[in-house]
Amino acid sequence: MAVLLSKVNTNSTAYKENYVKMLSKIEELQKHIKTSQFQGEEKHINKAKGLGKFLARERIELLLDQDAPFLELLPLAGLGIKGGFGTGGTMVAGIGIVSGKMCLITANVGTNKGGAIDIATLKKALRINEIALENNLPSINLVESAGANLPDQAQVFNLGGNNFKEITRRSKKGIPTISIVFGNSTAGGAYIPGMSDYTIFIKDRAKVFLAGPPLVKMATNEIVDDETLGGAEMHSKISGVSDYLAQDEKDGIRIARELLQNLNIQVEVSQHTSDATFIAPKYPIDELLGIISADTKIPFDCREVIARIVDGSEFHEFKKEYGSTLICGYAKIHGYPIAIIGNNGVLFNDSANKGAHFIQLCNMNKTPILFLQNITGFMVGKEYEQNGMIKDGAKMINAVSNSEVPMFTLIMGASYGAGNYAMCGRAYNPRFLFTYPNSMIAVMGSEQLAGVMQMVSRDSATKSGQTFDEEQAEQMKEFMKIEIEKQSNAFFASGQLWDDGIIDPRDTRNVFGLVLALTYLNDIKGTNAWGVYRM
Amino acid sequence: MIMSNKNKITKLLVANRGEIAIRIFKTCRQMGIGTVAVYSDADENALFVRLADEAVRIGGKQPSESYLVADKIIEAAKRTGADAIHPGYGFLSEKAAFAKRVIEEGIIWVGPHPKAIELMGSKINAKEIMQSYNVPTIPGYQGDDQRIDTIKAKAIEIGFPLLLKASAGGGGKGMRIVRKESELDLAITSAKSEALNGFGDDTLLIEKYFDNSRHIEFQIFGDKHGNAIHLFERECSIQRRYQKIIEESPSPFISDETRKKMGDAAVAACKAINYDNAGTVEFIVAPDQTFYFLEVNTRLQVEHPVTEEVTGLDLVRLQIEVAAEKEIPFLQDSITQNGHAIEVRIYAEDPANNFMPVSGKVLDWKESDVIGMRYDSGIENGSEISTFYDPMIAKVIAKGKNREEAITKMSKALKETVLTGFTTNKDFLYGILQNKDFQKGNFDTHFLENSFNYQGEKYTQDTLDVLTVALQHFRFKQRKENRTIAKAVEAGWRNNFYQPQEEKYAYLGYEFSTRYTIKGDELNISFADKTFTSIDKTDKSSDSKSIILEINGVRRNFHVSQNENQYFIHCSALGQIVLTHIHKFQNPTEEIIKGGYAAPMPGEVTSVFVKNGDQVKAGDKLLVMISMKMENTIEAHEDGIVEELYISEKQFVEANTLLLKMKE
Repeated sequence: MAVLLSKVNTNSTAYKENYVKMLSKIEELQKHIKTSQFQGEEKHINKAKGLGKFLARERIELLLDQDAPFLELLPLAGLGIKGGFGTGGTMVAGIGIVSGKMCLITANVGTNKGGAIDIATLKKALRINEIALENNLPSINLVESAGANLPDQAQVFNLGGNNFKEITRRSKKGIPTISIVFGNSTAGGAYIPGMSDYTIFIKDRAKVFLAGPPLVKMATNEIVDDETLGGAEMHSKISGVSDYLAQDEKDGIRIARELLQNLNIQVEVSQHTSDATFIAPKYPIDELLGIISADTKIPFDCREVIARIVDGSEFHEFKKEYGSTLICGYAKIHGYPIAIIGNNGVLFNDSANKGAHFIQLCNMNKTPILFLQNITGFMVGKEYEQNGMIKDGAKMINAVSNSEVPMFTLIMGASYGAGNYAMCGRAYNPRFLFTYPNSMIAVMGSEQLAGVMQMVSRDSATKSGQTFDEEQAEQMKEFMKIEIEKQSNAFFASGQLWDDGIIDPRDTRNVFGLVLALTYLNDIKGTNAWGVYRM
Repeated sequence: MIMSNKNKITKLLVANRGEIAIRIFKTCRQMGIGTVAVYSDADENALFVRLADEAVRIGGKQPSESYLVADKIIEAAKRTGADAIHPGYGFLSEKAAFAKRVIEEGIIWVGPHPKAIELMGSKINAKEIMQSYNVPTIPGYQGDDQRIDTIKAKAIEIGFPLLLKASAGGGGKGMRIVRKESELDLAITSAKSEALNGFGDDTLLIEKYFDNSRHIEFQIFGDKHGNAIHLFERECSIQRRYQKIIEESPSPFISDETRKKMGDAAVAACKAINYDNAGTVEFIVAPDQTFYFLEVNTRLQVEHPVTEEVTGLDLVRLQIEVAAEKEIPFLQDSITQNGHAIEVRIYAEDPANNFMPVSGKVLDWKESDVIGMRYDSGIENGSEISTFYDPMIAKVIAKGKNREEAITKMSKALKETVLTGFTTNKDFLYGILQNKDFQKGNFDTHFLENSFNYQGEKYTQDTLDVLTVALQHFRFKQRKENRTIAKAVEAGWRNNFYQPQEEKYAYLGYEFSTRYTIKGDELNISFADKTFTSIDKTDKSSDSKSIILEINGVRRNFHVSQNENQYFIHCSALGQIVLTHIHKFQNPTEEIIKGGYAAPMPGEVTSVFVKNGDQVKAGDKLLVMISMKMENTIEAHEDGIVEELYISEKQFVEANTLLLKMKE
């Protein structure tokens, strides 16, 4: 296959500047990840340790196979959300390997706010449910939660119902959920184990009931202790809510691992999982830091990125000479076939048509698609409108919307306007969406947005005959620009759960290698049914 | 089948097992002679059985049910049409009745005539014959009068120290050194009972005992035409519990003059009994070079290879030829000792635990390719070392220009030899070879008990560290190769900060944790405040148990064998250690039966001292088990009443079998 030749000069000032700027963005990312790893106040942690308990993240590490990779998902969910429980919420989630099987793992952080669920944590849980369903991933819940955060109940109550519904809908599809109950799981929370296919209760620790002793006393005047009401032994021996009685936390994790080993799933490992044929890219992945423009206004060649993330830097490019602002082609990552659609500038009529064409082809030959976003939008202006830019953009959006092969999106820089849609933005349900820390996501660039707003106000003032204070307007524009910028950057987006995580560009191959490995565990299906194409 | 020539050997049955059977088959292959093995149930999958042209199952596991049953062996020879039987050593090799029976059945006996075996079988007879041929013998008593009082009186007459021996014995059984009169009574009674138990005959003999003597033996050969020669000596003074473990030729001690005298005496002994095959005349040699006849072994010795290496002869070939009535094809004068040969015997035993025999499965066996090494062994990967037979598993023989070179080669080869799966005396043997007195040739038969202080394998911390790093890297690599999913994602990769992976091991009971981080083929391993960089340099041709690692800049080859969570890490340049991997998760342990006593190792229950309902006190003997020739007494560890006995005397039990249970 054709090998991409890099034209990057690593000694150039631009490269070096980008590199430094990107490094500082990565440091910012790491700072936020650090914050997200808060597992509660020291006194709560000490208390848990004193009881011989493991912390949520330690439980995950114990559960994972030795040396197994782990991709944490939505670590920054909740970042910047006021009144919430902070970055990451009170739940850790990610994909890892347990007894040789790819699993989706969630762990309530019982030492932080008792593991109570705030709105960000709930939204994170719902997104995790989606990922489990779409990817046929068995779920392992490490449960220890006080349930809904009561002050948030108005926001959480209705939405929260999905959590239980999704478990059983996956069960119907043959995707098991395993819950290990380490502590409290009360009221609604009781239905997490209640709905699970398999439950493991830790002796003397798991407490699962619809109502705790105080509420029971209030409701029926019955006096009962919590162990009798919902202890692990009771549920294992009398109620049958627990399937396995574990002696302690380690034993519970051991049982889950043994169970996974015995589940007759993921036994036929994909024919593509042969790393014998996989060759590393010809160029160091580290160079991405100097290649990707820290400033989204400065363009860079998408092929330079592709050359550093695909096997052997080999890329079979489709329609290279046509619609050159959209790069389309086939490659492999960790031996897995993948189609790549990447931006090399604004989308024109021809590039949009090429994109629609290529998406159809991928559906015919059942190849997953990776979108590499760096897009400011579709081209505007008289010529392009008259040439039917809307028609051609609609074709590409039609193709993306109806495509049925697994799609993944990586935002490498700008992600603005309808370009975000055509390039499989969040609303278009890519299986996974990751961003680089320099990315900007918004309806348009802050500069343009503020400028447009200024123009609209001026027009309106002129129309109504009022005087327009240019100085104040300029100040207003500046203020607006800053506000919009804040709401456009990757960290804000990640806090809003617009992505599944911000990644260090140097991790790109590991992230998509893992994602492809789990994608290829299932049959890849395409489609040849589309909405009406406006010709 | 019609025999065209009754003295021609065309198919030979070996009435033995293990390494010696293989050794004999080898010569047969060279001579174009067919081979027949006999095997017990315990040896069903043994290497020697597969190496024979034909093999006959003779059932049983215990030697008494198999290799010692003459009828079964004769029957096997008849069924396969074998025209000769070689008895090897041990088992029936020195049973005159068997030799006689073989000959009566018209089968050629590859050994001395039965009369010679019989004469030499009784130490008392042997001594008398030697005296009459002026072969010096040890002052002692060997009379028929076996009354305790007579034995006592004779003992006092001979003087102390002295040795009490079972007349029918061997291998140290029923042997007692008595240093003063007050010890005599007890020594006589216990030696008698041991002799009776061991050989069915409590006849004792007394010998003067020499404190600093050596054990030196001469290989003799006779034929049916009256020729008798010797093939020089073997120095066999390095012994533990009367068992030889290092033998060499020539002896570093005796003078040429003594050698000549001893050789003449050996040939005289040979002629005295018309000896007509391979045999060994054993002597005790005192520090002043005086020597005394000890006994004649009427068989091929375990240590015969050292003689072969220095004389260049094939003793088994010679045995077969003289058995077929050929003449010894050379004269005494034409035989010379060239260079120096040393043999060490590798045993499945624990030198740090009083040489307790161990059993197990050979995980890996790899011989060293140091030039001039010879390995006589009966094992291969996967061989079971059973408790039914002698725990010797291999003989390693080094040939050098001189003694120093032979020792150097042997030392290197022992380090390089991979033998994993259980504890062996390999490091112990290595330790002896490094001993200055041994190297100077300064030792006697009590060297190991008196002058050699062995405290288990002594490796430097650096060696232990490197071998630990090697195991960690090996286990990591093994996991990486066995991963079936997301194989190309870096091991241990995280997008939320990399955390070192952790594993736990134990070395000699001491537990420690290792932490490692991964970067491609490079592992950064740390434990006990030390950090190592280990890079995998293994080439494609290496087998799955080998790994080439560059650890902190030094590249070495390692070999790792695994038995469940036990790992044997071998490095030719460094040595071998055993590390136990401690699993992250413990499987729920089976409940221990309260008050139960389980067999510590497989073996036969020889005596049971208690019955149901007996009241016992802590320390009381409950029963005795014999395992691999070792007695093991099971004692009560607390007071109680025997609730139920699950076994009876003579019963063979596997390890961990519940023997009895006390009332709760």
